[in-house]
Amino acid sequence: MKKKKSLLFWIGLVLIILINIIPYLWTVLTSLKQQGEIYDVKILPETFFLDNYVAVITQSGFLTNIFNSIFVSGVTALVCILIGVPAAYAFARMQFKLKNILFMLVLFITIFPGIFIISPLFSFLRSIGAIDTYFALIIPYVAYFTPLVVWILTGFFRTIPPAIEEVAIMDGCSVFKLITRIVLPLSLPGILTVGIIAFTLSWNEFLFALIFTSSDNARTVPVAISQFQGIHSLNWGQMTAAAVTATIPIVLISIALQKYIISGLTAGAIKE
Amino acid sequence: MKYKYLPYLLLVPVFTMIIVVVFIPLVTTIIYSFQSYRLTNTEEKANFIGLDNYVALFQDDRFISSLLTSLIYIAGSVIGMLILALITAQLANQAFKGRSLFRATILLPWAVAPVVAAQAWKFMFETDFGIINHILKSLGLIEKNIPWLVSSDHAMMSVILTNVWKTTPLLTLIIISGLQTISKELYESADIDGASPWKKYYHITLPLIRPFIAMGLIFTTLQTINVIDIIYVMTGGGPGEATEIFTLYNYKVFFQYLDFGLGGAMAVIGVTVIGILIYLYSRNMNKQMDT
Repeated sequence: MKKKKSLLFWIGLVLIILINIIPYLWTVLTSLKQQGEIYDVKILPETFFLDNYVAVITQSGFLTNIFNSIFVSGVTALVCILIGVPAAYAFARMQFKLKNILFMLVLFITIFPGIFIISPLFSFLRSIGAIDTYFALIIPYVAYFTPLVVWILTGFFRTIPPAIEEVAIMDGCSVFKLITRIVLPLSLPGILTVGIIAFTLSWNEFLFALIFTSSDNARTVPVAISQFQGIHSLNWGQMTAAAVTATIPIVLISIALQKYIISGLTAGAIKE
Repeated sequence: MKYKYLPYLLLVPVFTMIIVVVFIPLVTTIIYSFQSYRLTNTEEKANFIGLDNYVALFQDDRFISSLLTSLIYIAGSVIGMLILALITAQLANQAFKGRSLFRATILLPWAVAPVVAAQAWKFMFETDFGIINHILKSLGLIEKNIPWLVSSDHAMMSVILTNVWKTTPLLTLIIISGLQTISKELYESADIDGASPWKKYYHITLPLIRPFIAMGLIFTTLQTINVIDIIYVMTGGGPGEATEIFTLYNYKVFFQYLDFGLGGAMAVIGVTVIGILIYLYSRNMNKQMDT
């Protein structure tokens, strides 16, 4: 039954779209403006001014920060998948005693505030001399984002009919082969999705990155952006150029793969 | 399929990480909370001082006020997120051309890093050349620029709005998935009875998505407390301590004042409060599922 949409619907739609995109759009527009245009609050840049981007990329250690972020987030996403897939498979397919309690525990970790455990972690990392290394970031990220990966993937695995695997087991297929030959190919979209989500969360993470890094050795993009104004006070042109450079890949990927990401972010909600 | 040891074996890597990064530090934090342990005097060993840290906390006005500030921040955020998420989810659940594009715009604030969102809004709230004052002025709504982030009257509202923008998508998506579980027939029979759209929404939709709302709110509330990024970047907790929420103060006690004992006590109280919060939310949710 298709009804014609009311005027109220379209007004609401436009309003919500504007709310969602304006802050980011305004950041993009500002990054293309010259200092004078920024202070005069011109809506559109007069020229396509790219100097802010050139300044950000050539002057500061921003490229190093981007490389750090790519490395840390990439390794985190890979490890999350590597240890998350077997765990999710166990939760989705196998019966065992402590299953429900352990699954609730996994869920609990996904929402447990990092600030409450950060001081002993800091002491520990400092005592082994790991502060300001990739290791100091990857370890807490893997611990924090794998539970989310497990939670989402468990939902995905449950949507795959178990009959195929049962036949394989009757044919004498080992569990390792079962996962690599049958489960993985079937759930590749799900795995790709959680990989992107884990990558995005690591890319955006701030608290651990702020405390566990002290120089461009391991400093990631969010920390660099938060400290930007300190060094280049009031240079909003460069500030926004840095913000856009750091977010545009993630934003484009999210928009292109929105269907998968949305199904991933809500997979647990539907199942439980 | 029944296995004896295999499932546990598959879970070992994940739980090793959880134990090393979350559980052991949590226990250590509890131990810290009973000690006098400052990072500034590393030579001095941490001494057991009983409940002194807790006593000191409850005599600390700044701690009490940070709890109240958190409550205001959470309450404001929850109200804002609920309104925005319910409307957005309702729109996104209709069939119309360009719906997937609309959903992509919902995801945009989720994809943007909190730090970037904070900088973007900070720039829009800027007193002299921020777009918000510019628009309000050209509409004739204000005569003088409002110092959004500089005055304690407006700072809280500004950080709440920013948090609502950044955090709502998660709630919206969970509510959409709730809306998709409602069968169309319920609405059709209500149509035959001649129910108005508002009545249908209030009597059919809302009760059915309530568990999803409750769950979405647990997630977004915890994210609101957890992500200090927004306030850290926009106001640093100021002006004065107007926007200093509990977790931000805890961060400062740990890493600016380097007092791991006092900070530990704050963290223990925080974990307890959050535990109670989750318990109340989930009990409420179960009740609604039963009825």
